[in-house]
Amino acid sequence: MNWVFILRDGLTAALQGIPVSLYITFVSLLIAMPFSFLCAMARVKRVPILSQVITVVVSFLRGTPLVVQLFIIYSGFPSVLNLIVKANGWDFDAFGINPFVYAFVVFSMNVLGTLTEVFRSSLSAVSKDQTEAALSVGLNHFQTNCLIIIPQALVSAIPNICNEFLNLFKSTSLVYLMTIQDITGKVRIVAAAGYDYTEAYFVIAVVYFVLGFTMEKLFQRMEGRLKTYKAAPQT
Amino acid sequence: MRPLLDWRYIIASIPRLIPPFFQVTLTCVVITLMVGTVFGFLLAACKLGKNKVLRHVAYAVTDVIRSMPFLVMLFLLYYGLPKFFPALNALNKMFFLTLGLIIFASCRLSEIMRSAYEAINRNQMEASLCVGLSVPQAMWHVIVPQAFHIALPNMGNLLVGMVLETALGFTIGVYDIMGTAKLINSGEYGAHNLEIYLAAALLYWAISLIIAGITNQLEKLNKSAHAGQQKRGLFRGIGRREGEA
Repeated sequence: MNWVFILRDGLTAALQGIPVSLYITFVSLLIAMPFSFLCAMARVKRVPILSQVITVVVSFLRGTPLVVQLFIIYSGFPSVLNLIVKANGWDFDAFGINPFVYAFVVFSMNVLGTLTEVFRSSLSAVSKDQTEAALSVGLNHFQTNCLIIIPQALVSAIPNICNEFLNLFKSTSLVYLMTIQDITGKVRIVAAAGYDYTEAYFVIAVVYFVLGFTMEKLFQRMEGRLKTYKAAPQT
Repeated sequence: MRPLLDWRYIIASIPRLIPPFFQVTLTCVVITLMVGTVFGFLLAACKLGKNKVLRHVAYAVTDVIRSMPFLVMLFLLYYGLPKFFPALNALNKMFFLTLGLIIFASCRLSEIMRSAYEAINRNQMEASLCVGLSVPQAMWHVIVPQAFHIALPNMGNLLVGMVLETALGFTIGVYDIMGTAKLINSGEYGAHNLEIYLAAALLYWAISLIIAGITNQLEKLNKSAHAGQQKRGLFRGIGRREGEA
């Protein structure tokens, strides 16, 4: 083991990559959240057609590997876009789109699938009595949803969202395939100079462990506090 | 101009992607499931056991492995192991993929088994001891069947997850479905970029749907005695969350 590499070059490179990984994770999650909430609402309210379409799309997103989705978007989409651009004679470079855009699209789509299920199960976990009670005290449907149902559903969804955040953070290690330099990408480049790949992946693993573990513990604390707002278990 | 999406190409390339599924993905997943169950059981036994040291070690191992991306794990094994044990260089790359999967699967399996065991009321054990069963008998006839019933949905999720994770094998040069798709694609200089990956995606989707369908059927068989059976459509199977019965 080349300890000099691990402690100096590898660790510096990994630290430089951390913001990139976190940035992609946050942005993708923020993009995905409103959409997945709407999708979940559509499924819970059983909107005709839309609900079935969402079911199939979610199933596709959850039933195919992230790498394959990544290659469909990153490698397949530009060539189709290029054909469209050429056919219409636009002045646009289809292969020059920033890889970060693709990363946001891929990861937010992927997490959309899981988050829709998260929101759906938390929405349906709120008891029907709540709706009935709210309606009977004179709230209209809009108020019932905004003031009574959604807040309760969100609180019960938070542990799963945190879990999804951690999963997403781990899977962002795939962005090195799209030439983005996150933790994995940065360290791999430094490692190429001296062929210190073992050490490089050791560093990456340690960094991911430290970050993931700290965030997990932080989330657990937060969840503990949020329990105060949680509805009492219904009998 | 060629059409934007060549459906016939997608359909024609699916048969080319099926052989690597049987050669690589299925082999890896089956081996992982067999070996992973053993290790997962051992880990779960350590977590539930009375020995404090073993319990802490088991939890620590699970924590470390859970917070590591599968990709990093795979690379660590692939580059790291042969460095210390040069004899491993001669081995098939599939070995590293399977090893990585086994490590991941045993951790998750241990968690699934632990939570399933803990979900069963203690009274069950006490009652079976009262009627004169021995501890192993009580385990085998009373606890395990119930625990299996609880663990089944999570097992299905894990199995789908394992199939999906084998797709990462191409990064170390294993030619599974994804690797073959990439190989075909580069052989054609990216002429059918979108179509070949869509074909791979369709194949993976079909596999996950089949696994989800089988788990649902098993659950139904298992659940026939229980009330409140929820109906599920074809596409609903994959979309289940852990902990949602």
